[in-house]
Amino acid sequence: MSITGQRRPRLAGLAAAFTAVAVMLTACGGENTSGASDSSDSSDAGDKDYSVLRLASSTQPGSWDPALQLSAFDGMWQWTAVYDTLLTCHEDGSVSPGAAESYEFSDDHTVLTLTLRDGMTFSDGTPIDAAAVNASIEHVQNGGGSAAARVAGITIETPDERTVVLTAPEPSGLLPVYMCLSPGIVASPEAIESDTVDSVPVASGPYTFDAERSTSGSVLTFVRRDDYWNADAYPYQEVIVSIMPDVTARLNALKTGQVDGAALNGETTAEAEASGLTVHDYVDATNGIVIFDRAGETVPALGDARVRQALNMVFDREAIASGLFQGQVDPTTQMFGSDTDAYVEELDDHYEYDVEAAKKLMEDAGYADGFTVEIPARSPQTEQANPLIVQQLAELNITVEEVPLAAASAVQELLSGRFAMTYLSMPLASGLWSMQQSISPAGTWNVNGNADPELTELTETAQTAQDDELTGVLQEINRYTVENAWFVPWNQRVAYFATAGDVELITTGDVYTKIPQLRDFQ
Amino acid sequence: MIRFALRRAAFSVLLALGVSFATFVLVFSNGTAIARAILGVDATDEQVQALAHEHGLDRPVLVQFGEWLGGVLQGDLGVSYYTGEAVTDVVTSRVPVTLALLGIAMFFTAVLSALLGIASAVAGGWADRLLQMVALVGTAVPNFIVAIMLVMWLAVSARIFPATGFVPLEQDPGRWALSLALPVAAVVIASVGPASQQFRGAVKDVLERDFVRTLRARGIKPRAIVFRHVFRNAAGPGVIILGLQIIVLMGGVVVIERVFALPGIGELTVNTSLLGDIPVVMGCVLFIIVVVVVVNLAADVVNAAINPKVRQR
Repeated sequence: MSITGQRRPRLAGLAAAFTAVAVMLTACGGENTSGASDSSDSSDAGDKDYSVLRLASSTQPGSWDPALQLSAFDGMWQWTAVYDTLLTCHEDGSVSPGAAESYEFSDDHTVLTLTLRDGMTFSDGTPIDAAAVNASIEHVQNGGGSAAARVAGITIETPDERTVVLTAPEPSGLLPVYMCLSPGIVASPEAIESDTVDSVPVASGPYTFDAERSTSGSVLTFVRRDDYWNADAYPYQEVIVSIMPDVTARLNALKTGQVDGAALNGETTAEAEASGLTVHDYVDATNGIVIFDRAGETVPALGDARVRQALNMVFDREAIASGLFQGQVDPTTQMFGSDTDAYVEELDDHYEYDVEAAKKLMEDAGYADGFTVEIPARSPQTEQANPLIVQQLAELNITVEEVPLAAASAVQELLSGRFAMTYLSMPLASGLWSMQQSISPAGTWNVNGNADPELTELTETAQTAQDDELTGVLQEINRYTVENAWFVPWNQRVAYFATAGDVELITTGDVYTKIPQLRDFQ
Repeated sequence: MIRFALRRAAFSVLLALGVSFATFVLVFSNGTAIARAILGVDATDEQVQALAHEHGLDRPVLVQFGEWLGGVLQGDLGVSYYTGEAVTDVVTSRVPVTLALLGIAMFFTAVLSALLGIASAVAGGWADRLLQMVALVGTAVPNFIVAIMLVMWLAVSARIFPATGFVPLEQDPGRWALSLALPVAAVVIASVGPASQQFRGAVKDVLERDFVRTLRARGIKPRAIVFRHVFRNAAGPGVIILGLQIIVLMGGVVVIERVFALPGIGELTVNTSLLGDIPVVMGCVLFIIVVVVVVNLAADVVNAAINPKVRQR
C-alpha cells in the first residue's frame, strides 16, 4: 500500500537510477506554484471526484477495541470510520440522533432512553439491536479503557429489540454527549468477545477497514459501506489515512497533493496559506497555569485566594500572546472557551497586569517574602512557559523549582497530586464538559478534589439544569473560579486544519472532539 | 581468521545480551506508569493496577526479562499492548524500509567517500582544499536540514519525487526507488563528509610510506599504486568509520523517517515509546541492537581480512 494514492509520479519507470535526476529535471520542468490545485488531477471539469479522500493523521493508530478508543484529535478518524455512535454531536454543542433515531432525556438527567433505527446491520451481516448496544456499553464499562469512567455505574435495560434505557446513578448532564463519543460506540457483541477485538474491526459505521491495503501503523484504508443508514452523508468511496506525526511532513504532503486534509500548527499556517491551501482555525484549549493545591495542603500559601489572585496579576498576557504564541492566541483570564455557553466576555480581562498590586496582595496575605513551589517540567509542553513562570513569580519573591518529568509517566505524576500547580493546555469543549473535567469535585483535572460548598451547589445544579438555567449556572461557576483564582489562564489556543484542492469542510468538527469528522469532508 | 571471527561473534552475543538487559530494566522499572500511559488520564488507580497486573508488569523486572528472553529465543516478541498484533509482524513490516534506507545510503556513502577521499589525497593542492571545504559543510549541516531543502526543491517545487511516503519494492520497483531517493540523498549528503575525510587522511598517510616510494621508483603505474596498494592499506580506518557511521545513522533515521513519513523502525520506535507500547519498543530496540552488533562484527571481520595484524590481537 502506498500513501501516494492515485497521484502517480510521471516518471516512475525511470527511477531506479539516481543519476536520472538530470533527465527528470528537464522532463518535469515548469514550476507548479499552486500546491492545492494538483490534488484533483483525476477529476475533469464537471462532477467532483469522490473516489478517495486522503487524510494525514498525527496520531499513531491504536487498537480496534471499542473500549480503548479516545474521543479527541485526528486519531478519532480510525474508529469513527468503522464504528457508529448512538448519537451525534455538533459544532454548536447540540446533540442529534445517530444509530438511535430518537432519544429522550429525563428532566433530572438520570435516564436516557434511546430508540434504535430499524434494519441496521454490522458489516458481517448480523443485525444491530438493543442487545448489541447493551453489550457494547458493558464492554466500555469493563474493557479497561479510559472511557469507562464516563459510563461508570450506569445500568442498562433493553425492554425491546430497539429500545435501550440507560440509568445513571446520579444526575449526569453530559450523558447524551458521551453517547456521541467512544462510550456510545455500537460494536458487534461477537467481535468484542473474540480474541481479535484488538486487530479486526467489525464495522457498524460508514466504512469498513481494508486490512489488505493498509500497513500497520502507517496507512489505514477504509472502503464505504453502501448499506450504512447514513451513507449519503459520507460521499467518499474510500478514505485513506496516512500516519504522519511530523507537522512538516503533513504540510509537504498537503502542498504536493498527496493528501487532502491534515491538522497543522501555528508555525506552519502562513506557509500553508501561501501555498494555496485552505486553512481553518478554531479555539481548542486554554493555555495557562492550573493550581491544584487550592486548599493549601502542600503549599499553604496557595490556600489563600489573595495569593492566587496575585499570581494572576504578574503575567503580561498581551506580551505572552505576541512573544510566546506568535500573536495567534487571544489573551484571557477565564478557563471557558469563547464559543461556549459558560463564557462571560468581561472575564477575559478580570486581572490586569499589575505587579505592584500583586505585591500588595501578597503582603496582605502575609507572604511578602514569598514561598517555594515545585512545578513539573515536561518537554516540549512546558519548555517555553516554565522559564517565564520562574521569572515572573520571582517578582513576588516566590521561588519556583522545576522538576523534570519523563514523558511516559508525566500524566501519572501530574494526577498523583504531587504538584501544587503546573502549566497546562486544558482542552476546551462545552461549558458543562469543562466544568465536569476540571472544576467539579470529582473532575479528572481537579486533582486534589478541591471543593467549596458554594461551588459544589452550583456544579450539582448544572448537572440537571437546562437551556437558560444551565447557561446562567455555568457563567456563575465561571465567575466563581475567576474571582477565586482557581486557575491562572493566559490565553485561548487556536488549532489549525488545512484542506487542499476542492475538498471542503462543512464544519471543523464538534465542540468535544475539536477535529473535523469524516462526514465534514465534502 | 575463523577463530578470530568466532571470538568476535561470541563477544557480540554477550554485548547484545547486556544491552538488551540494561534497556529492559530501564523501561520496565515502572510498570504502573506504563499502564497509566495506556489507559490515559481518566482511568482510576484501580484500573491502572488491574492492567499492570494483567500484563504482568507488577512482577520483578528480572522475572519479566527472563520471560521476554525466553520468547525472543523462540522468535516470539509478544504482542502490542495497543493493537494486539504480534510484535514480530509489526517490526518485520518496518524492517525493509529502514534496511533499504540504511543499506542504500551506506553503499553510496562508502563508494562516494572512498572516491572523494582518494581524489582529495592524491590530487592535493586546491582540489584537496575544495573537497575538504565541501566535506566540512556536509558534516556541519544536519541531515534533517538537507532533507527539508531536498523536499522543498525536488518534491514541492519541481514535483519530481514524492514528498512523503514509501512504496514497497514488490509493489512497484520504480516508485520504490522514487520514494527512497530523497531520504537516501539526505543521509548520504550528511554522512559522506566525515567519512571522506577519514579516507583522505588514511590514504595520505599511506602515500607517504616508504613502500609507495619504492613502487613508484620501480615504475608501477600511479593508478595501480593507488588502487591496488595504497587503498588496501588505507581501507582499515575507513571501514571502521563506516561502521560507526551506521550506528550514528540509527539515531539519524528517526528524523529522516519523520520528515518523509516513512514507515520505518525509527518512526515506530518514537511513536510506540510515546504511546507506551512497550513490547513493540523492545522489539525495535532489539532490532537496533542486532544491527549495531552485526555491523560492528562485520567491520571487525572485514578489517581482519584486509589487515593480518588485526587478527593477531
